Amino acid sequence: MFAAIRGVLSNDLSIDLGTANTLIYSRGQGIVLNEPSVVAIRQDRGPGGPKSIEAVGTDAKKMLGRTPENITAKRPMKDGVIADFTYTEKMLQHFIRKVHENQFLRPSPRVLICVPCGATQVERRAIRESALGAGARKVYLIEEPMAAAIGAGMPVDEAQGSMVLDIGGGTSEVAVMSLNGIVYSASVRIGGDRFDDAIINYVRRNYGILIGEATAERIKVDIAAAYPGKDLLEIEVKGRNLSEGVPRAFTLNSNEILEALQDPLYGIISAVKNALEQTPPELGSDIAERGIVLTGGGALLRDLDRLIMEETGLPVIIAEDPLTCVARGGGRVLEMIDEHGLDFLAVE
Amino acid sequence: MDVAEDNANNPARPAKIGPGERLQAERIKKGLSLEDVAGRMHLSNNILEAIEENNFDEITAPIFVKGYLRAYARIVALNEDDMIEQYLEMYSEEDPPISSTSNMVPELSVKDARIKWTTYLVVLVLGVLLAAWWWNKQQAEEAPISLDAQTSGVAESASAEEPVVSSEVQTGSETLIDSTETAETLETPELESVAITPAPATESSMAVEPEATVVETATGTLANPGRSTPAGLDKMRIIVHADTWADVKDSSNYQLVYDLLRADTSMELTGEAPFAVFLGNGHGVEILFNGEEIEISPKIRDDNTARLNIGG
Repeated sequence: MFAAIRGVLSNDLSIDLGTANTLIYSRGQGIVLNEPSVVAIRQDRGPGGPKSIEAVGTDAKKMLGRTPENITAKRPMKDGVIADFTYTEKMLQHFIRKVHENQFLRPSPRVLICVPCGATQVERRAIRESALGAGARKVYLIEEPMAAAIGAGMPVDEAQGSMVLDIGGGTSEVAVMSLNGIVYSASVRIGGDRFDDAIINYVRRNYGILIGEATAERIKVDIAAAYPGKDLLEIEVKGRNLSEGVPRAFTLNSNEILEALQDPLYGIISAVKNALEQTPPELGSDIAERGIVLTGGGALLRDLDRLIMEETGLPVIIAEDPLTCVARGGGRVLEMIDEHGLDFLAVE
Repeated sequence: MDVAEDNANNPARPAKIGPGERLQAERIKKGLSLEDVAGRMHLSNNILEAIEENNFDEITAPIFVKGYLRAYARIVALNEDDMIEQYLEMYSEEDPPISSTSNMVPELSVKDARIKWTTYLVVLVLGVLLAAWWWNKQQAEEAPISLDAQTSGVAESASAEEPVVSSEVQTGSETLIDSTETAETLETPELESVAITPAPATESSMAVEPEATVVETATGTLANPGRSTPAGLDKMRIIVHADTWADVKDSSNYQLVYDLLRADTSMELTGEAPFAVFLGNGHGVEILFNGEEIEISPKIRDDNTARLNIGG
């Protein structure tokens, strides 16, 4: 009975448990949390000593690559699924508490979590368990592209094909939907993280300089483009020169980054082309007429829509506020669960 | 270009200018044809025409309209956000229920009256349930005690009756003598107790046992429901002085008693002899079989139990 009371006092949450960022949409309140999926663990008294959570989210992300021996900053999610169960649970617990900060009862919300459509049963189960462990009263799972499409405002309930490409931190999901169901979906383990890795590798190969993940991400956000543009952007970064062993400053331009990103970008393009190939012709013609919708943080990569447009010959649209599409879509589904039942939800 | 000439006078139109007209005007200014733009956006010409005519109903969802407007604005180098703003101004009613986080209105917060009242209600219901449970528990605890209290109360009243009777006699005699005193005694509460007690007072010496037997026979018959006791059968009376376990079966092996008998009670059983009796505490029991006392003591074993066959 206590759970029910706590349930009345807790808001239903839709969680986009992403590799890079975790977003929480609280029913009736909108996005209430958007923090990096990073946990920093302190382990004093050497290996085998007691572990405690040092920081979670933004604070922990600042520690990435900058920690002393007794602290480990860790990203518990990898490729869209849980890599470290315990820390994911702790992180979720922290976030759920943070959302319900001003309450003295332990929150016990209904939670809807998005899972990549390529996630295995074991991975889905792990996500469900970790949410239950973090204090959720009930856990629903939904396929990420479905949530993304609903969040973007696509007419998925109509008898028309809609194609969505959700580029997250760990995975990119492409799906064709019609009549509230997924007709085709595929997931490739390429996302923002792979872009960062590609930049790191490029810089090491061509400059002989080692840069960290945080720097690579800054380069990507500031100057990276997916399609050759008119203006050339430049950025000055610092990294450790591998031969001299000393930190050095150097300048990178957007064309170099474009070159660096070719591999992961073409991985995504081929996934989209595969999806179009597998789509039934009627739905394919709907998509050709209206276009593909891009969501997720990857959609913010400059001129990515242009690249996909040129490669596929289809109109490509970037959803409004692409980072929060999945969380908002999940929130929308939570509202619809009460009205229409569990039509959209993924089976375990 | 003929299209350009056709639309050359469009900006001068007095009506409210929608995003479509602005895009079209800009396109013409840049010397681009509809096909050029459609080709760059990979869209069909009729969709672009619909956009330029501000006829957005033909495009199913607002997300596509916004996407096309942005792409078009980029091609003709207009401000994308201005276009979207203008579109939203004109067609705000077509906006989907969820568009962006910024214009999200909180529907339900903890401070909401609904939540508050639900909480109060739940707490109230909880309180009532708790009270009911507590009261029930109290009742349950009192029930067995009340039986004892009743019997002991009877015993007490029986012992207290004698002075009462005498006082009644006294007051009776006194009323004959003095009427003012009767008035006084009438007012005293003692008189009331006197008025109630005469019935047991007449059989005060027997008051304890009959009462107890009534109770026990009642439970005895309750324990053997569905078995009638026809007259002419053997009768056995068990008088219990100390708590004992009793197990009595009649000739047909029917279990008459299978219970813990309490001290200072007695029980009458009717059935067909012989009775097979097992007593857990033989020293504390007296048995009368058809009015005759049965000798139990020789049958009592070291552990105080007794196994008897009565009337066999």
